[in-house]
Amino acid sequence: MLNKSSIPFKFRAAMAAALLAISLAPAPGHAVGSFTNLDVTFKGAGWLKSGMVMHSTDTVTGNQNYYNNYNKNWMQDAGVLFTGIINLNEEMEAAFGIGAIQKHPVQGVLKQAKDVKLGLNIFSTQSRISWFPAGKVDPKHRFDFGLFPYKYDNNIKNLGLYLIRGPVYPGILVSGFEAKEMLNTANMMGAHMMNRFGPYTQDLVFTSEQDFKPLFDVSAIYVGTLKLGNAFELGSGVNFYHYLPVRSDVTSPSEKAGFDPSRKLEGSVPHPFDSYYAVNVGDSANPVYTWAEHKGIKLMGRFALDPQALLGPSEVLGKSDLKLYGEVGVIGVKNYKGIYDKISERIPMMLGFNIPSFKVLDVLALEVEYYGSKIVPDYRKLNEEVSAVPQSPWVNRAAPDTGAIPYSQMEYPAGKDDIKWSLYASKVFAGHVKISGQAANDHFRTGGTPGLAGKSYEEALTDLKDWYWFLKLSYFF
Amino acid sequence: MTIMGNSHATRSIRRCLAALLLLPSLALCAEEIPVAIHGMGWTQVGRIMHASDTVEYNYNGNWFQSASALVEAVASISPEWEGRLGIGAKQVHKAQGTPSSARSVVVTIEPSITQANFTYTLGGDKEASPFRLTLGYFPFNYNPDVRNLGLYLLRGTVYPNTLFSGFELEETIGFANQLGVGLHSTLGAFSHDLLLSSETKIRPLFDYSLAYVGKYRPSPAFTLGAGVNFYRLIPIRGDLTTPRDRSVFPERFDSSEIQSKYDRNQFYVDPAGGDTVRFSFKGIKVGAFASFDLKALTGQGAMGDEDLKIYSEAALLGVKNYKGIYDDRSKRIPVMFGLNLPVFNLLDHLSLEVEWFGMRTRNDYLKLETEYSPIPVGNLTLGRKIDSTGQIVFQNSKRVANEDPNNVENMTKDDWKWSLHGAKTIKQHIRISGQIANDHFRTGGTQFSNTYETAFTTLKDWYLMAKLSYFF
Repeated sequence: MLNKSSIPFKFRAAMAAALLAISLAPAPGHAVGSFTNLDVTFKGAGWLKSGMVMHSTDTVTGNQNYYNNYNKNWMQDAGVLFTGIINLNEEMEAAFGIGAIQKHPVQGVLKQAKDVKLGLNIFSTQSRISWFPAGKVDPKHRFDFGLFPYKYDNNIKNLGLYLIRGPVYPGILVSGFEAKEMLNTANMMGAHMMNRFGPYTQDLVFTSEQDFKPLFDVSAIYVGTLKLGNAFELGSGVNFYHYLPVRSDVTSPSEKAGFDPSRKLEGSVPHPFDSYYAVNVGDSANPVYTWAEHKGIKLMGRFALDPQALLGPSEVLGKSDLKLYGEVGVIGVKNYKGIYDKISERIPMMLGFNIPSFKVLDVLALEVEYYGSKIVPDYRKLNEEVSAVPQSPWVNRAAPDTGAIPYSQMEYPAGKDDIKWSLYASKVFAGHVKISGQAANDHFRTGGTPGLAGKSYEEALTDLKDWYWFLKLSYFF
Repeated sequence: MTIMGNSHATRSIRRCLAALLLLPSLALCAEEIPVAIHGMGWTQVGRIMHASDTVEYNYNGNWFQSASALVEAVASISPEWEGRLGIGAKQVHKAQGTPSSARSVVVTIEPSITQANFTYTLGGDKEASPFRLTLGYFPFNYNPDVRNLGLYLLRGTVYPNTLFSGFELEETIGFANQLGVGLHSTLGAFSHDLLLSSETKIRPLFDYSLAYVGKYRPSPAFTLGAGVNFYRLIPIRGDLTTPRDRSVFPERFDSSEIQSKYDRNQFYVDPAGGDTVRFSFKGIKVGAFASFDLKALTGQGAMGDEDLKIYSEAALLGVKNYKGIYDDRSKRIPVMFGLNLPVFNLLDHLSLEVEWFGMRTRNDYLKLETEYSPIPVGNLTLGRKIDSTGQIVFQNSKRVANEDPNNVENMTKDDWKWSLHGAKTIKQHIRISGQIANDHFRTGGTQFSNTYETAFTTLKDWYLMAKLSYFF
């Protein structure tokens, strides 16, 4: 037996907390009423969301005679989530929760719309244990372990957060209406350390990949934030994405690991990106292959300016009004010859401004983004073939046997989607009821249509003319 | 009648408007909200004792078993505002069918959202408030006397006419069944419910229906109600709700397989005049219901609160006639009667319900789900054919007599349905309930295929179910 005094108190407390958290799962015959003996705060939310894709230029992604035409597609879902937060002691807390979303694929064209089915997605909202060595009130230090939410910029309502969203190779961005990062729902699995030293705050996160293949690789993220008074905030960070691979032979494919560099899937027009794992930058007689890896380094810089802090408090303006914020990222420092040649095409930047709504709304945020990437923003190849080479603009095109121009001859309109925008608004009533909405041309992915077109990973909006809207009614406590 | 006078109504409306206008400025405390956690778990077993139509699926002797759990949170945000949300999971399996399909049965877990709604109650008094607004995914049952049969206004489709019932379906046990907005108003002896809800069960999905139910309750012993449901009034895709595109919705014009008008999918051709009739899933249901507590005449005595209640409901499923297929409104009027037998507190209730519905076709929405057809299921849909003599029905290699229910286009033996449901709550947290019935129970099919038909097609058919649940 270990001598109790030989174990540091903090360690004993952590073990006790972990055991306590595990024991919360009611065993058979265990009265659920025992919750009342714990200091548990329940948080919950429920919502109803509807929207429509108003214009989508590219209507021919898909498979054989089934294609994804999202124009005027109705979208609707309902969801709930619970999170229980257990106050273990003055320095520790645990949180666990579950959520469910009743949703459906977008309808596509009529022959697909008739096959739409409702599905239910179940997810963990949080599953973490947190330690606040200097207390929970206005914490100066914080450690999270498990499944927890993390983001470095609370101003962002849609576009941005480049450091923690999306893969590096290919450099695909992720955004959409009230994505999980905006809802305090877990997006990181691993460990997080936060330290605040006066105006400087640092965050160090080790997180295991849950969204993009190769799964489970661990990324190391460091973010520093400097607050200059109440008005100005500067931040920067680095993400060593997939730098701690679970299987390095998958994360960094090679011939030695058994990958065939000539393996490819050709579209109707040959393209270097037909290759799965390596692109031939030589000639056919003397091939020289560039192997693309999944690991890469992301960089980020950001700022936020609150003019109200400079001008003084206003009676008529809302708390968020007039805030200006921006972010720039580098999605992959390293060039790969023949695949990722120009770093300038891997630098997204966004600017956001909270339009004054004079307390009529809580926030009315206009965000604009520029991203000069010329690759197809579709991660089908990444998730189905575990390929770090971008997708050819000539594949995943439907091929109906009618029409003047076969869809397979219509190139994906990459390059016309450099500018994105988003207008987000929300208002909380009575402290617990929230109405929010968004009109945007962002990186929204529908997930695909029913039928053979199947699951999709591409962006629905490929041209500046494209946009959608969502409206959501939610309550929370 | 004073209560219904203009002054009271005007005052109520003013209060409602004031509440809505004041909403943005309400500054309620967001921190200490009482949240009550409720839960429920149950196991259910049952058996089909007799099923007459065995041509495709033989459910005779099939055993059913499920286990479920749910947890719900009720947040009392303020006296006026309340939020509810819940998640559940059910361990279920498909029907066993014949031995060949029974050996393939697997158990699956079906998660569900049990509730996700919030409610504004004007004045905060849930019992006495004249106005309540509910948004989200919420339960609604306009006739709580019904244990099984009935609730025609809000269950089932219009064209084709389908009825739904079964053992403790969500409508009868307070589970969410409407996604949208519900307005409830009580003014004296009158109450009103207005619902705008989205379809989430039967295709075409998401269409919005507008329903109104009014009730008059002059005394605790008597309730009279009526309602209308403008089913799929607001379609999300009009080309799905009223299917016309021949390239998408297959039609059979001159196929040699066609033996009857029910074998077509999208239209009816009048053989006399040559008119072509097309259909829509849209339709209007109207209904009425009443209940009377006979204890008002006999006195309470040793009887329980539910004993000796009689109740009834009738509805017209589709006001509009469609020539050839839906010609006769009298065939679209289900009627049910219920009586709570006296059980003298040995049980909470023991309800006997009887229903008559003179529809001649099968209560099956297979064609709707698979072919978007508003025309009832015919023999061809089920792979059945009548031989040239008209005496034999073929299905695959099976030969059966051309009689009800083997010929699914002229069924009368399923017109009568019945149900006996009983329940007893013990120690306020344990409930035992059971049912024997010949109702519209749908098994959902076997491991090999989904079905949308009722399992019972003649008066000889029946099943039993028993359930043990606990809740807190």
